[in-house]
Amino acid sequence: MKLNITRLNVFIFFLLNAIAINVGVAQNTPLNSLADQDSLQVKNDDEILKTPFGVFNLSQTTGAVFRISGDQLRKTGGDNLSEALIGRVPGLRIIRQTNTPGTTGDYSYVLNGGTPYVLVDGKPRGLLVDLREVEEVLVLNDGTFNSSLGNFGDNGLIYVITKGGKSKKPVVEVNYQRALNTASRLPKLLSASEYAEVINRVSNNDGLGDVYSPEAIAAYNNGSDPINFPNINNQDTYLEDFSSSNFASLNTYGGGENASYGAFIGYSDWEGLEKVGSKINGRNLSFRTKINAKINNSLRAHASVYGKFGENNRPIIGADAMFLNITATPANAFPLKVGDSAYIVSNDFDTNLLAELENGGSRTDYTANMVFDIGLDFDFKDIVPGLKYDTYLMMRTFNTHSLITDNQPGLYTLENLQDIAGQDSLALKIYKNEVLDLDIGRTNQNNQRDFTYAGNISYIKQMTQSTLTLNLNHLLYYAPNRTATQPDNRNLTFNLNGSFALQNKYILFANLNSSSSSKFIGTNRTNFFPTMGFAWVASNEDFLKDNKSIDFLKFRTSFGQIGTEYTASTFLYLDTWAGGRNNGTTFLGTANIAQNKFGYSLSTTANEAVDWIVYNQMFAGFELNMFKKFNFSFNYFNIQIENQITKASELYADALGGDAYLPSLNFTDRRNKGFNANITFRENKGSFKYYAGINAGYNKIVGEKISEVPYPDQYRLQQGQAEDNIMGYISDGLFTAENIGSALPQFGDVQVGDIKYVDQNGDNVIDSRDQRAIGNQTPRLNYGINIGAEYKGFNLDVVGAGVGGYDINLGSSSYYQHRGLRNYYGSVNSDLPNGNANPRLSTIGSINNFKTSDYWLVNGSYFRISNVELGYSLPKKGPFTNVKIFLRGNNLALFSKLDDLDPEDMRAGFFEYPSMRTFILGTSLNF
Amino acid sequence: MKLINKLLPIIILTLGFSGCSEFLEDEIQYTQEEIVVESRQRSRGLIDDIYTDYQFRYFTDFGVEYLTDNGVLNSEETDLATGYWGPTSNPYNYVWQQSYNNIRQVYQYIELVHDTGLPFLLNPSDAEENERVLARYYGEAFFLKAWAEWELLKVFGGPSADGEMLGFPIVNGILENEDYASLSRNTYDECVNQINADLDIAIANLPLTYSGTGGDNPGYSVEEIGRASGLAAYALKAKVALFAASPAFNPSNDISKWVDAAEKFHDVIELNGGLKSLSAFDFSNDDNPDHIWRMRSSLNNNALENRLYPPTLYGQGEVNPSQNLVDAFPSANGYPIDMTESLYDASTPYTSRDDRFYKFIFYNNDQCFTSESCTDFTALETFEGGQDNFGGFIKSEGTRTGYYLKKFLNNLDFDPAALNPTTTLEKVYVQLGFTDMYLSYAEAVNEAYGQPDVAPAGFNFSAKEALAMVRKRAGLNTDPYLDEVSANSADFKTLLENERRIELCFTGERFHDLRRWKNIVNIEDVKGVKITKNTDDTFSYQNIDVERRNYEAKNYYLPLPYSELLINTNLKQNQGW
Repeated sequence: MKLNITRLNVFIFFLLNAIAINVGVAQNTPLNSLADQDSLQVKNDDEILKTPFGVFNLSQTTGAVFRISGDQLRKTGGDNLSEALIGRVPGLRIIRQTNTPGTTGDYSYVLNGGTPYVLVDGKPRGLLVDLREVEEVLVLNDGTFNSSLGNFGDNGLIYVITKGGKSKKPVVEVNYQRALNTASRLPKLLSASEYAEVINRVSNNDGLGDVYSPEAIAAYNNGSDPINFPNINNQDTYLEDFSSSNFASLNTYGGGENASYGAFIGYSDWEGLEKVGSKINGRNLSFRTKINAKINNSLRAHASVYGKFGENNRPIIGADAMFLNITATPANAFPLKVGDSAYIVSNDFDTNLLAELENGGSRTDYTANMVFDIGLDFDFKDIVPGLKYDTYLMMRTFNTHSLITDNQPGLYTLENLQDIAGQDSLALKIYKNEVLDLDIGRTNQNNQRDFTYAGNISYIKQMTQSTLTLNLNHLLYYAPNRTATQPDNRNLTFNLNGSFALQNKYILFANLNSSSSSKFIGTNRTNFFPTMGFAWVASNEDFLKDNKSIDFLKFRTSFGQIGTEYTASTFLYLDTWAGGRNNGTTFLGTANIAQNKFGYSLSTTANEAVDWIVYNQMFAGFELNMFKKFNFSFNYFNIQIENQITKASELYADALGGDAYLPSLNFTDRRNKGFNANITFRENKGSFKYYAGINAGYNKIVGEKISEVPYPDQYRLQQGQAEDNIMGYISDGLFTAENIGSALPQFGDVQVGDIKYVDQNGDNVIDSRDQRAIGNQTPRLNYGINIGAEYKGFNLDVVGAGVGGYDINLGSSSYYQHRGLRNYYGSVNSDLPNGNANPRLSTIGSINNFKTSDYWLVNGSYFRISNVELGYSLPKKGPFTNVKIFLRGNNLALFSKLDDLDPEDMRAGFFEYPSMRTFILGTSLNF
Repeated sequence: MKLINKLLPIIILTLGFSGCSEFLEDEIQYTQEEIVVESRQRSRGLIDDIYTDYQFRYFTDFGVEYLTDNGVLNSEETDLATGYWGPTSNPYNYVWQQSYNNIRQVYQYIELVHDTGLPFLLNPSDAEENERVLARYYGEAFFLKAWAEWELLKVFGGPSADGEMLGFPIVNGILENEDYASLSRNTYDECVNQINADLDIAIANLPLTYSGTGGDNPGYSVEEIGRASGLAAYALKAKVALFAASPAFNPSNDISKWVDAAEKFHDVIELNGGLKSLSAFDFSNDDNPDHIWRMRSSLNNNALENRLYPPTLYGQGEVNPSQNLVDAFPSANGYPIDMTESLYDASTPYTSRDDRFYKFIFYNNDQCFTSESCTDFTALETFEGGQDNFGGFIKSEGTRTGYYLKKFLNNLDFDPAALNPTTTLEKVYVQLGFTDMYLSYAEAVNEAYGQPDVAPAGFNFSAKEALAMVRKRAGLNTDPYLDEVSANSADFKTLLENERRIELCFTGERFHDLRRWKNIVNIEDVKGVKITKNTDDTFSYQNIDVERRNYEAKNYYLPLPYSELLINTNLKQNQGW
């Protein structure tokens, strides 16, 4: 195998070289101006994107490139690049997964329906980058670029370039921002009397009578007996209105021909909304130093170190548990405290958040993430002009450890007893003894390391009529898995590609990718994936060259195959067994005798033929600049995702036993079609400049070949349908006294106020066969709006982001589904966000009403004013090149059918920290 | 080309990486087949693993009990029982895949381990134990296969649309994965024969019971109690015969099938040394001679207590027995409560009742685990507004029927109100026991010979004597009512069915009994009781409707898994589905 690959690669290299050498005569052509997506002035140099996986001439590429400058991104406050990218990149949807202070947000990225790969300075570092050190972000999203990273590049690249490393006059940037954060939305909770009234309503619905007497409800209302009839507003008790955070950074970079450098240090701190006990609070420090030095005429060396060190203190109970308790403990559950020290709980609700926050203990997490890289750039211009070899070695390490003090505060329940005189008296009964944690626990949770070794040989030849770029690169990625029973990530990727631009009009690109992964065996271990791209710069043709209105027009298309490995944490080509001593076996013998036997069973059936998942990608698009003010770009994509892995158990009889007997197959085929587009309009009228842009992405993924049970009812079959379909019942309102008599058999004994379903197959029974697609759960459309203006040093910039074309299943949130005698929220007293009434309330959970049905679906579309900046730049003075003060607002408004929860994250504020609205005041100085 | 020559070393150096095939060899430490099947002890884990599926099935059983008139779940209604049972649902669907999976694992053991002759113990001095253990695992394998087949037959047995009585597709070996989609059902009789044949192999290789210490009786000692035994295999044969003789599966009422069943139950009882008194109820007794095959949980497991105890005992009160079941418990003198001879008084319904009532049911004012009068705990308040009802001690928990389930629970060897309460007693889960054997024997003899008070020729005891043993344990040492009904086969049958309902309540048995007797269509709606506390501290009782019960003739049988029929067109669905 080895010999074959070597021969093949060398052969193709020769072949392309031979073609290249036979074309054209050397002549320098000035590089054309690239479609500029923002205000950053692009210099000629910048159009050569020199990456460890290839050198690309961005003005002569067949690929789709979207660029956005760091300065533009930094109109969003804080230190988080993900937050800054929201709404600014066509086709890119960024979802914040957690709002807990001190977390990075765990943003998930969706680009054109898939997950893009993030590169920092060309290296697979993940999102280990600070917004304040970003020079530029390039979004490379088509077959041309996707192929270059092989296994990693299945869905586009987010290419982040950090400051420094270029020859430039020394620059110092100082930045300080202070932020105030407030919860943008919190669920509505019921007061004690409201809660009691709902419980009575529910109880009476089932004929169980009042649980709370009118006297009790009156007492909740007037607060006359706060011990026996408490009315606790949890949100007011535990949450502050505002929390603050600070960001400061110092950035210096510059250098000359012989050496360039960049140094960045950033500080951020934060605190939580907790009102009692110790707040969440923490800080982190991140730094990056870069140096690039010339050793001699043909060799440069470069190295960089990135580090991020964090410390976060929090109550031991954890942010999610805190919000769960705030939300799910009714206002009348118990008085928080009796006397000075006795924390109270009840038999129904046995966590006292006040006790936890005040006396539960604390936890401090320390994190240290570091990235080291070192590299050499060879320039063989003495041997062959234009020939270079760049290589680097990178290691990332992640370490976390924590100090923990976990106390159990003493808890009491209230008992009403009669004293000797027959008077009611209040007694406290111990519920949990106080346990103080005298030792500080230390955990060493996570040490993760990975290694990358990569390099690229590039050859650029400028000729009279044409430019040739050739790249041959290698990438080795190694991420050891700490669990001995699970595989590492071990990948080898080679690319050989060439780009040929003729007369700056016709551009041809071809790449041959060779990907190897330890997740496959035999001849499948290494596979080859070709890519082709074509572009035509129509505006350079004679018939358009002198056109007054069209400044630039380029059509491009690419076809490519990308292979990716599977994500399973086992090797699918191995038979594996599971079990061990006394594993899942029954207890034998009598009395307490030692058990000593084994339990084993097959857990995976091998499929040695398991093969790469292939993305057959087709991209086509154009870029158009008109009237010097109007930019339009459009990209269409049609991606077939072939051979995804499944056991296809739906196609086999259950009688064969469990899934363990079925090998994993390359079976599923999906197709992802859609587009992304961007329109920008920019005008300068003297000192008044303004711009307006809109970007959008649309996609839909269809399961072309899926494993599904061959249902006879056609409407249940999902092959050829959108894969994000929600399957459920079609509802027809609620049963009324008039139509309950003609109810078809549904689920249990339905009553007036239960949801009525529609019979789909005409058998006069509602059962699982009456389910069909009732909506879709992934946004098909995402869009952003960017508008701004500048006048005499003042600037105003607004970014809005929205999604559309999907449904939210309210049934997935317990905020909207009420049952039993335990938890009720403000939503119980109003209709559902889609206008439907709440179904019948019952102490016995209804098995009819909570089935997935369109009764619970609501249009999920929303639009958010995600960022606003109002800034003022002082006129240049003294050594300062730029001094700016600014006011920023993040997440200022949200338009959605949901009033109480955030449609992007229905758990926010309910079971988790709420999404925050942030106001920032800050200043930046450059000199 | 000169350039190329200079470049070549670099290219080759780079490409040399593709030769790093070693880098792509990730040696993970996974459990391979050899590690399991070539180790003497580990290889037997293939069999020991199968037992897991049959232990601690309490909550599955309760779920099936909610399909009958014996009880309801306190938090949800059971739609299948209320007349909405379609072919796509079957609470026993899991039995299909689980059983075939276990049969496949049995054959895996036989092919990969047993047939290779891999010894269990190497030392020549352990030769006897080695030989016994090898045979025992082989016998266990066939018992477990028979058990899987029995569950398939019990759940999926029934007539096809053309009336032929069918069982399940018999699989004796491991097929290709695709071939399982073309299996067809064997006849009911073929399935019975297959189970008996498998049990014959089990009997030939298993000790009758486990006894003695490891030194005296290597491989067969008390330390192995919980494994399949010869006696268990005989008992299973008898149960299979009982179902085969029952009206639902014996439409022509072939009496010889009842005779066969009677003989098989007689064999089991005789192999145990004849008709013996039954031991006291105690589900924490791991050494109960009445338990033929029982599974045992680990110690300190509070799962049942936490979920079943009433609220004032800090439980969730999940299982609510019905008023119908409570009414089935006779009076303390053995007469049904609606007979004049009974001691029953509707104004004090919980006094002077059969012993089992006090051991099985938590009722209003109850304060004892074992009898009518003792004070193990504070009197329960299931009356309206009481502490053990909705809105009481734990506001969100209560009973829909006025009762909670007490059977199976430990006798409060711990204080549930204490800090970190825990029990130290284990629980056993009985798969095969003598209570069932005695009741089934009585049923089979009565059906086969029609004379409950006479021991038929070749039998050492009568149906009445067997039933008397069961009632004696309930405290009925003198039993005039049994004497009365034993004169008449039909009356005896009525009493026997009631006795079966009480004794085997909440083991999941009643649902199958009602089906095989073709009685399920006559099932009553579930009733509960609304108790009002009067000002003079007495109580008033009023029966209430809790949940409807509605079954059709098709419910004598259960539907085969819907998706399996779509995949395998050779499978015939049961009548009516």
